Amino acid sequence: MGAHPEKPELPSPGVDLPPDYVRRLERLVLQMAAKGERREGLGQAHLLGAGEEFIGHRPYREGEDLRRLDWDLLARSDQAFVRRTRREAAQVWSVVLDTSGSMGIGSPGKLDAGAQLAGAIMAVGMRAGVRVQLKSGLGPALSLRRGQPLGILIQRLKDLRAGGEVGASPEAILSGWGPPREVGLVVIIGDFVGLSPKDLEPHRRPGRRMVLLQVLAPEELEPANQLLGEAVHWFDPEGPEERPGLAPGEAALVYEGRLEAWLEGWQRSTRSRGMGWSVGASDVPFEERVALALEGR
Amino acid sequence: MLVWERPWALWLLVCLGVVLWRSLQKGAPIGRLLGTLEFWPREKVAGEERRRGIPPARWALVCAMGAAVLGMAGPAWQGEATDPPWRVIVDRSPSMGLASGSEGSRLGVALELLDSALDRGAARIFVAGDASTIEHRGERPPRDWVSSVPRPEPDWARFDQPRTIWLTDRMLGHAPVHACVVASGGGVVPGVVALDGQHELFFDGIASRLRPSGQGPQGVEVRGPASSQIVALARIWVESRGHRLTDEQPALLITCAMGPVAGAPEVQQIEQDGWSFSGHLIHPAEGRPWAWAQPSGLPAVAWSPGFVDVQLFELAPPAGDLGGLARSFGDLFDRALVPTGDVVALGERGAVGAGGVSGTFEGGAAARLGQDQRLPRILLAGLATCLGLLALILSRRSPL
Repeated sequence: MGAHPEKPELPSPGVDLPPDYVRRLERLVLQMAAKGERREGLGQAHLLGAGEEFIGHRPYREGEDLRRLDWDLLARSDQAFVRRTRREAAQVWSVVLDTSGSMGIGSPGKLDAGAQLAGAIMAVGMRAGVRVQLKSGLGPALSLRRGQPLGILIQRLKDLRAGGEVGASPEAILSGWGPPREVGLVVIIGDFVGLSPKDLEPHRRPGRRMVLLQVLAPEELEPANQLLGEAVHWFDPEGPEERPGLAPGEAALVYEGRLEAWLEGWQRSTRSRGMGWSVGASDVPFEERVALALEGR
Repeated sequence: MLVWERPWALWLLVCLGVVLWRSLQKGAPIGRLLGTLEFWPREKVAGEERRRGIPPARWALVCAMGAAVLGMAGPAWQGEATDPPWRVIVDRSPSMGLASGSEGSRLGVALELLDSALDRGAARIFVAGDASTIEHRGERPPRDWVSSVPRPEPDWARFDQPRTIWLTDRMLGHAPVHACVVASGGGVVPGVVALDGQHELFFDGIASRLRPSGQGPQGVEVRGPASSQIVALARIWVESRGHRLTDEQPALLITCAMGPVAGAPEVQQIEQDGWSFSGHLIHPAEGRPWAWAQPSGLPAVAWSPGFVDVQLFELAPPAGDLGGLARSFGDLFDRALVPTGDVVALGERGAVGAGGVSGTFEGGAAARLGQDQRLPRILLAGLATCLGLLALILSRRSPL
């Protein structure tokens, strides 16, 4: 055998937004707004115009419109509750973006693709009048509202870096942070390596929708096709694990079988919990995935 | 049977084999990161070792190069590749025998140039440029083809044909259309340019000067009727040049027609330079024609080195300018006399420039090969191109 190769540096640790990213965002925002209006006209529930679908109660706050007070419940329990609708619950969105080391691989990089997704979802939310917040790593979440400049969001995305800090994975973020109760939509973006559907359980709420957007590198999805005949020694980007360098022949088939089973597991778990989920390679345009995520399909 | 025009090119296949062998030997894996490493099997998977090794792009590239090498080696079926021999027209004028530096004669230099221009083993037929019926098949012309015997330069225009080489010492002013030229070149060569029984004319590279000859008189034999004016003229020429009459190995044999033919043949006449002879033509003269009989138009006087043949039986004394007659026959005898030693005419000793090679010496077989016969090479070239493109495409997906 040849010499043992050294563990390489992360090939795509940063975020390199395409030059036309803002223009594409604006176009997507307009398209999504138009779709939301059409759905409202048809009386269909939707995150971007959710109608008055009843999803539960919450305590009455002083100064609120008394027309929303649930008089029956007040009569029965002698406590003031207001009816919560999906529209109200969806007034705050949280986007959790994985910035762990494993997001720094792929071409284009997984973090790059994830950041584009996160930015698009937040831009759509801001246009819809939703308060959006971006949570990545251990720092405070970035919170934005309609009317605030997109430049703040873009700059934040550009500053992201994979593997820059401990606790940047979604499971670490969700274990220590947790979206506020009023958050109606939680979007988690990452490769979900190390994340379990059980990690999401504590964050489920009535009236809250959770969407998982899984991003994998092309060579992670189809190593046999991407690395045809190449002898590769694999390294774990976040740990000391490695696999001996042999050409990805039969081993790649075994890998792809296991990966498929893992993804199917995610699909089953999220479906049974009423969550949205999709997986895509980092070279898939964000427009395709954002539309599917926010339309609830 | 498959043969190769350039079999040495097949050695390049060994180089390709070495590249492949080295690829298999090294096989150093490159390090890459995989976020989903936990799904990659820890254990060795059956068949994996067999699959490792040379990337497809490199296979394609090596195969493309292999096809190119095979095409370069020139595959051909035996029979197709046997070219017709090259006809090498040899300039046998005395200048070709002159020394040319340390490399022998100008002919030797020209032959060396010929060897470097022609493929090894290419068949050659040497043709005497002054007498195209004289041929010699082999690597070298006979040694006695070039000497101080005065021979005229070939009539080159007659030999401007494909697969023909003019072997001479000077690049001609008029380049051939079809033939190739190999010229030795050469500088001025001093030496004796003429001699008689007592003196020799020596050319020192700049001028000629007369000096006593170290050689004795040359022998000349004159055969013919005593009544012949030409015989008498020949004897006078022998005496004036200091030669001696002999019948033993003469340097020049002059024969004149011995008697009239039977019947009543037509009277013929030769006429040159203001003089004329009339008589009967016994036979056409043999050798290089010098004077023609009229009205038959047949050669009446001919010569070759060491020999003058006069076939006109004189019926009357010569008429016209008798001084011109003596000068004409004197020049003829001088020219025909085989010189001894290194006597080479002044005109032959001049510089002839750098020499060189011109023309296309290859492609004789290829030019003759038909479309079908070129097919192996065309196929190999096409295969090499396709494999090269495949390698280019594959190199985008895997390293070369």
